[in-house]
Amino acid sequence: MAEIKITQKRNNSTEICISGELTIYCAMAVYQEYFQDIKVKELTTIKLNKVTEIDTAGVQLLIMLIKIINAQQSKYQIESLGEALTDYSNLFQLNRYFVDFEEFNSISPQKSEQSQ
Amino acid sequence: MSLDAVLQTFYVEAQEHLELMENVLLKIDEGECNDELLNEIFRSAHTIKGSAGIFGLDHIVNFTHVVENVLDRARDNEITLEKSLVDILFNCRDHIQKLVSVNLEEFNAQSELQNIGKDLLEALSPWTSSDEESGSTQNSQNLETENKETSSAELENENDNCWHISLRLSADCLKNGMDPLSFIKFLTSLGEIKHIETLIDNFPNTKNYDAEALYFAYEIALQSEASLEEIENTFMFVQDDSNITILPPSAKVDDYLHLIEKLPEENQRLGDILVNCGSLTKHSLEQALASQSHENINAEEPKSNHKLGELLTEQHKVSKEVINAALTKQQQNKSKASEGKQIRIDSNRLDHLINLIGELVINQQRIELLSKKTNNPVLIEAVDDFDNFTNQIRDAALNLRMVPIGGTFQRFKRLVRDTAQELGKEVELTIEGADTELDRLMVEKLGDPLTHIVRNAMDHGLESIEDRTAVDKDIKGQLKLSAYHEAGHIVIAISDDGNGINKERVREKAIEKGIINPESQLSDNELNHLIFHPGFSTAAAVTNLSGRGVGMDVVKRNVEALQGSIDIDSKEGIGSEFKIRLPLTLAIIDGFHVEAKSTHFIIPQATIIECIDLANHEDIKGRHCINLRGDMIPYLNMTEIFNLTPSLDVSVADALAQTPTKKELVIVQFGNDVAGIAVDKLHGEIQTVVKPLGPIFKALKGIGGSSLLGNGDIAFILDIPQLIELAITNEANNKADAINISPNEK
Repeated sequence: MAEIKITQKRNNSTEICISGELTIYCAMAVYQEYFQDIKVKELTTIKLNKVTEIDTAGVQLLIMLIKIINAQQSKYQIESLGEALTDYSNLFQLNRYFVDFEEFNSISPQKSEQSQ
Repeated sequence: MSLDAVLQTFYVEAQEHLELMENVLLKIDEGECNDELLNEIFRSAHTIKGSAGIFGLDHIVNFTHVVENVLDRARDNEITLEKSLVDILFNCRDHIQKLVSVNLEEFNAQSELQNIGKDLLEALSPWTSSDEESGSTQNSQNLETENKETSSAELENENDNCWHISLRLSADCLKNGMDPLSFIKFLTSLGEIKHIETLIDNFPNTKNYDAEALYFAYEIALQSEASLEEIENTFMFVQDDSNITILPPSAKVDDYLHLIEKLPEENQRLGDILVNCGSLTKHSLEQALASQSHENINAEEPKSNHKLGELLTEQHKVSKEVINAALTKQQQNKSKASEGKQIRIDSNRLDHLINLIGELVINQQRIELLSKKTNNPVLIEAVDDFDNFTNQIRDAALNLRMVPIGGTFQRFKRLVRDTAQELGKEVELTIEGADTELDRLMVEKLGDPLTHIVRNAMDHGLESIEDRTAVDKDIKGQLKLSAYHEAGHIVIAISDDGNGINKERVREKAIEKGIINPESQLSDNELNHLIFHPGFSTAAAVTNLSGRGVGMDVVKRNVEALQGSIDIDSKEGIGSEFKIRLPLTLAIIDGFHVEAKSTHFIIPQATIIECIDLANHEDIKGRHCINLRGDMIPYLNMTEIFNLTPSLDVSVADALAQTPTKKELVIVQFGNDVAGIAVDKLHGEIQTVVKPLGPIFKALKGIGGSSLLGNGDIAFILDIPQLIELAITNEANNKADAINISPNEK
């Protein structure tokens, strides 16, 4: 089970620290408890270096988190990916989401939802 | 479907492929070797490897990969499958079976299993390709480094080799325990993923987001020499509810445009993705999209996508070969569709269904009984219709449990081959009636008895090559397994052309063991049956082949537990035949309801020849035997056999109403034996749900099970083979007594 720590900082930023196993076994609980109604500030820092295991449900959860952050006009920044996510990201060539966040920000959330 | 269930499917399918491999190897061993067989065995090995790869069962993948490589070389005529290689491949197949039965952790803990694997790979090495030897440890990273150094011209060629895979997997994929991660990882073992585009367009809004559903979609460019079937197999466990398109390297632009049209995402965006994947060039995409819009504007009627396809085909001149390949593929798909008519279900569910139908039958009988009491003709007619449908449902459900015996017979090919090698004998196995169907439960329980009889036949029945030559027989011993229907039963016969049972030796051994008295006069059949006596086998006779703790007495017991019987026909110097007779099914049978002293009995209908009035036939005095149209038929009186007394609740009036002398006789047959069963009343045909008797009744001879009647009474199902045996024995004893008492009488 992943541990999630959300800190609202005084410098108008939010820090989300995820550690442990972010897999399908806890994805639902994490989403409902922490991410679904999360309020983020102007800048959101996501710390992922302590994620020891991640699967597709976990990666989808991170993408959803990024979409939520974007929807609140906040900018996100990932600090240190951790080995598990780096491997996944390399295999699926997802680096633009987890490293090059500027490019991700350019995809407007409205457009994505329209295309459904 | 949970991951465990999917894994279970893998084990079942792996077992099927292993059986297929064994059958092909047996055919090759017999000298039959053609492209079709080689393709078949290669595909089996490949499928096992592929499926194991999806589940991360690397111990299976690593070993099977080398076997597959050897088979691939044989397919390409680079090597021939000589006898020594076939022997090794048999062992490799057995090793894969062992590997499938353990998980990776268990494998790592078993050094013996690892060593066997190493030895087998070593033994295979003369036939493996040089690439395999030097490059078995080569991984995708090495490939990547090498690829980076390739020139742009080479890169172009590589792109020609690129498959395009479009994956829209089922949303329930993750919940079912299948993570796309496994498929993508496995694809890397088939080739190099040149590009993978993970689409996030399908993500819903925050309210509708289900964290356990799959929203990712994938467009993949895979550079691989693998076949379409190999790539398709990667996704075999997620094909249902998924939209998977695999375009070969030879695919034309219109194929891609069809794909774009088919997919839910925006066309332009998908086009860009395909360009990113390297599957399409920007120029050809723009040209094709422009042609499509131009065509649509100019046309008087809206043109279908098919028209666009035609236009592009004209532009790109699709070769004849491509069309032929497409037609072949279409044919393959058609045959796959017909294969898809079969489904695999858990046998426990089937058993549960049969049990429920058993209850339905009992309830139907109760309703029938109650309806008759009402004397309401409309109700009685409706219940009759209901009865008719119940019968149909019963037959259809029982048919579900029937499986051909062929699968069990096939397994003996390998046993015979290995045993013959071990004994230094030459044996040819013939199989007849493999399509004969039998209840699944019986097929499962027949394995051990059949194995023992076959081993015995090869060990003790068939002579050595020298002995056969000496008596002028063909050096190749003949062993035949056959199955056929006979009088409502299935007969499974195991025959050989060996030296037969030496009756004198059997007699001597039986006397030595104290089984019979030296004075006993036994018929040939009785002497043959002595081999089923517990303790008949001697330590000296036990070899590693037939001394596995299952004696012929256990064989007989197992067959009898299936309500069957076993007979032997043996002629010295000519051969022996063991005949196992079994009922068609064990669950619900057509029975004939009879009564004796208020006790209900069911006689399996398939065994009944006719019913007669005992009083109308001459009863041979003191011998329980009647003269039926010139034939002497022994009979058993149920009242005497089971010491029946009238039940206490039978009123005096009822007791008086019964004529004690009036007896009905049901003539039954089993095999060649005929006997009569004397009862008080005949009630008629009845569907009988067979319920086993508890272990306490095991010793009770003549009763095979019980059943519940519509009125709630218990009926005992008669074990006809045992009763016939009893009738014949009694008749022989009575005859002897009659002779002793009054030798001049009759």
